[in-house]
Amino acid sequence: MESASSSSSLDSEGNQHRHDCGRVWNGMSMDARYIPALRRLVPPDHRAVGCVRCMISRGRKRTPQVCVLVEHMQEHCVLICAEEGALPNATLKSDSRFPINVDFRIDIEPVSTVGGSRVITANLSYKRKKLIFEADYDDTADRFVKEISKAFENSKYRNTPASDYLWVEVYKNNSKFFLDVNPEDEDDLGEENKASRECMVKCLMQEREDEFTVLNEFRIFTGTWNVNGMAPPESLSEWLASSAPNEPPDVYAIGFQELDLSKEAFVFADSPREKEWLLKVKESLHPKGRYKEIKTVRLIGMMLSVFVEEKHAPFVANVDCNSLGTGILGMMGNKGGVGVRLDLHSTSICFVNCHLAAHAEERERRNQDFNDIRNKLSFNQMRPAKSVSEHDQIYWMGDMNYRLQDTTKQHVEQACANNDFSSLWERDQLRDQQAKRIIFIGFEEGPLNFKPTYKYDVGTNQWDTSEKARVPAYCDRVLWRGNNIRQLCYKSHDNFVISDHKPVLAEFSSGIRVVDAVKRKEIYQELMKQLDKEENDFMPQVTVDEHYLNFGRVHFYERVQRSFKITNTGPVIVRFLFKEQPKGRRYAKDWLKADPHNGTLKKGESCDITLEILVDPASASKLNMGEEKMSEVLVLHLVDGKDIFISVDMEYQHSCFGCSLEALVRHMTPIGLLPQETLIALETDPVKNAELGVPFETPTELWIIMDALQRKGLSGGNIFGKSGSQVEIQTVREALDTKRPDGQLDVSVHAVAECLLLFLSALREPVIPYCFFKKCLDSSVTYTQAKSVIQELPKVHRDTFRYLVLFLQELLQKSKRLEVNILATIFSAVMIRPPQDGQMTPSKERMRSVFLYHFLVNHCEV
Amino acid sequence: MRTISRTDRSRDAVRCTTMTESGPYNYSYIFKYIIIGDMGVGKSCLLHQFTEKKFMSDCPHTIGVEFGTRIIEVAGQKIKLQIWDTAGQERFRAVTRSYYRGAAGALMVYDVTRRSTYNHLSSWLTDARNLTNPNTVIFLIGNKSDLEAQREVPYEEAKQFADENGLMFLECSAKTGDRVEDAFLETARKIYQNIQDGNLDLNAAESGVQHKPQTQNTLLGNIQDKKESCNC
Repeated sequence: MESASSSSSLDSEGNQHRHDCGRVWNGMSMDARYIPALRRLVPPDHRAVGCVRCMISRGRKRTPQVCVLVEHMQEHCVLICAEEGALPNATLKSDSRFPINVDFRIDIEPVSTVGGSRVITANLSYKRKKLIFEADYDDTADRFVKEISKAFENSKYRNTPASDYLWVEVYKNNSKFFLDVNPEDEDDLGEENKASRECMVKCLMQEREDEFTVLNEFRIFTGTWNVNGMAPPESLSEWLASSAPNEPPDVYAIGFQELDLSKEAFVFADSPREKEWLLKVKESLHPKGRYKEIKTVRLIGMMLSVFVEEKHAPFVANVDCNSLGTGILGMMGNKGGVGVRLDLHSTSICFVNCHLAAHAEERERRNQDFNDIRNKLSFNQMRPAKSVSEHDQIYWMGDMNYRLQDTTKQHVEQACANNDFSSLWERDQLRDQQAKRIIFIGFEEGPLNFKPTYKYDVGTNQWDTSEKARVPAYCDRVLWRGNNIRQLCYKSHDNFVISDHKPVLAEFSSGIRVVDAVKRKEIYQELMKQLDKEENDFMPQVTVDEHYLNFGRVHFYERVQRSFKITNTGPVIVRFLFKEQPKGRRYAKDWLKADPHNGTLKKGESCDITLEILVDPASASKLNMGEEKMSEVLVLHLVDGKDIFISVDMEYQHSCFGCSLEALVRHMTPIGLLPQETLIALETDPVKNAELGVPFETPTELWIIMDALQRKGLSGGNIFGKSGSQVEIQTVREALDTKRPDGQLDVSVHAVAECLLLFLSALREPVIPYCFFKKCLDSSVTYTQAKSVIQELPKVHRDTFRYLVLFLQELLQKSKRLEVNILATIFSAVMIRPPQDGQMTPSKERMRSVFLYHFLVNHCEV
Repeated sequence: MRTISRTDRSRDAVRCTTMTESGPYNYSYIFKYIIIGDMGVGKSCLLHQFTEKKFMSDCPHTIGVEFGTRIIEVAGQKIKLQIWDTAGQERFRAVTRSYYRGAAGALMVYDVTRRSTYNHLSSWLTDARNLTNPNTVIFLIGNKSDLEAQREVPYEEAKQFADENGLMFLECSAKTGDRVEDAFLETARKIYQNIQDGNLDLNAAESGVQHKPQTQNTLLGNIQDKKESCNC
């Protein structure tokens, strides 16, 4: 219902897009919900034939995906797609492609019921790539699978040569290894990005196996015989060593049925017949070969032995076997199958020997037996367990018990006498059922150019002369499935008369993939290199347009900004930040700030980063003294990637802001006009390097500021209520640093007031020197105590303190709106500073404010 | 105030874990390398040649620290090399010093055609010795060996310097690729040897080596893969 309604609404849209999008055939094998996504996925000259949501299993991995069948110039390809986003706006991205050509295989399993819902299952393979497709059974899924099947059948009968399927390249993503990162959901970067590299290498190696393997022809001999519980004859050489005298088979797989009909064989695992026959087989193998028994497996009467030429034994790996009974209750082993699997070089081979239900009318039962073995026989020592169909080559032999139908014994005898075997084939049940795709789907069998092998009178070459006079039948067969297999011969041997069956043999020349170790190493290394490269390429990458920013001359408290641009030029989202300096220090010196200091950039995105220099009171003195370098290297770090250095240079103009009282009272020349070396000398030893023999009581600069404030009037409200503008502050600073002003500072009173505070807080040693800080707080309880601390201060500090207190008292008198508490708090913060940052607490702040308060409310007596 | 060194180390450790906690690995160790030496001696070109097998003809000066990785094999062990290529400019010297810590290998590069780069080696060596742990393998590399006509530093002289200071040494060419692999691989072999000899405490953050027990994945237990050895 849902698909019908949505498809009709989409039709009109489809017409609109007809010219720029691929054709999407809204047929019965199409999940219509994906039509918009398919229009975006499929290019105009391709056609989407079908699309279903399904589960795809690759080895142990099972993922929900969307399977799409596309067509181009009568060629088809299955796309396995990942679905991104929610329907109906989902996007499909193809992560693997299965061209439907000679290398393609599809096996459709009978519909099964899992947890109450019906599931349709198909095994798809393309060269070495294999996967299992599972979808909830409905008309769409059913038709979809049939479409693939049909496309596969049609591909065999093309009258034009198959293309190299270059047309599917458009569905390839740029990289197989790293998903295109969607910047919106960074968190999803996780799993896929970090997919196991080992898995990737293995998978990629498998894809390129053709390049480092060569097909070597191996002779594989298969034989099957229902021996009717008899002891072995003198020799089996005529059957087993019938190959060309100088061409011993490389591999033998010999299957017996009814090897042991004794009751003991049903009850006990041990069978004396097994040993007898096995011994006889070994004696009878090709005399020119030396064989090693790889595995023998027996289930009651069914036995399968695999031998390889000794020289190949080192290249046999992962040998496993199992059996499956389909007889009475599906458990007893009188009917069923046994299998041996092995890897020969890098081709996986599975041999199956079976004995299916007997009697002409039991055709359905045989079909059932066959499908049970095919589906349920698995090799469980393998990780993951392998089923029969998961092998490159399958050789399936046994007493299949399929009969000739709609014919008579006379007719068969007549045909055999005339060597007209082909007239019998069309009456063969096995061929009939295979053609109807009920059994042996995908298997091949050579022409049966020999007489039916059943049923003979024991001891003779005569067909059944008993009352039953059974119609002879090709019960004993060998079929195969896989690439590069050529049957050399397929025949029976009449001379063995111990059984009512004749032995059958089929010999093959099979292409086995042999690894060229040198080539493999080359490709392996190439892949590792490629992955290394991808890993390196997929690291975050950015460019910055400036690595070096020169701020030129910078003055005290002057904000200067420069910016540079950072652009994400890499394939992934970038997170950047300015890395802390070693030893946990801030990312830059205190006077430098980056904005933003960290951030995230999508692919191709740019961001301007502003660096700002502001030399504030805390940094001024160190820069004045040349104690701190006027350059900085910022480390711009990309998370999971490289570091970029951004160099910053400036030239700081030393200033009276940041000097010490001792220095300031001993010079006449404006500080800004002194060479820096003179300033440093003055600061280092004020007395020795003084300009003035008799120092001033307080710094001239302070006096100028006070004078300016007096002139501008102290009565106009709270002079500390507003801050001055950048320009005004620079004007004051410039005046103080370069010329002795006449007091006519063309700025607001607020700017001058702010400069007073800046001046005090920039002093190299506060008005209350650092070493008195603690004492000062301890003595804040009473005025008397506080006064005694001030008495101890060095003269210039004491004088400056008194000068400031008198000024503040005057200020309080003139400006009624200023509160003494507030003034005490503001000025104590700049005059009474802790030796190190971060030592202040609210209670300490209160104490230093109280300390100053005493002086503001009492008559100043210091 | 922060507890400086501890914060630093734990931050590094966390970063290492997140970098390596990415599913099953196909390597057993991570070795950290740094490449140091004067500006223009070809440090970045060496890294590029090693990771990409290509020569960068117009390689810009590295302004920062570049980062490259490659997985190699030593004695059947897969080892992931994490290589930090530092800026050679003198003005960055103070900053690049902070990258030495925790390096298992230091490739100290000079240019055989410029004697000044050779003359500065003792200062680079001092940094490398002071800023890395005693077991850090220091490998002296004379780059640009293809420019024989312009050679200013004889092989023997550098060899003697290396011997006197207990350094491994070779000359190579990032341009032709000659012996570049050797420089990186011999360093790894030496580090691996140190591990085998028990000279390296893998638990110490400064060792520059992280051990990753190889995940046994039976799913991939293909005989052929187990036989794989690249002996590179």
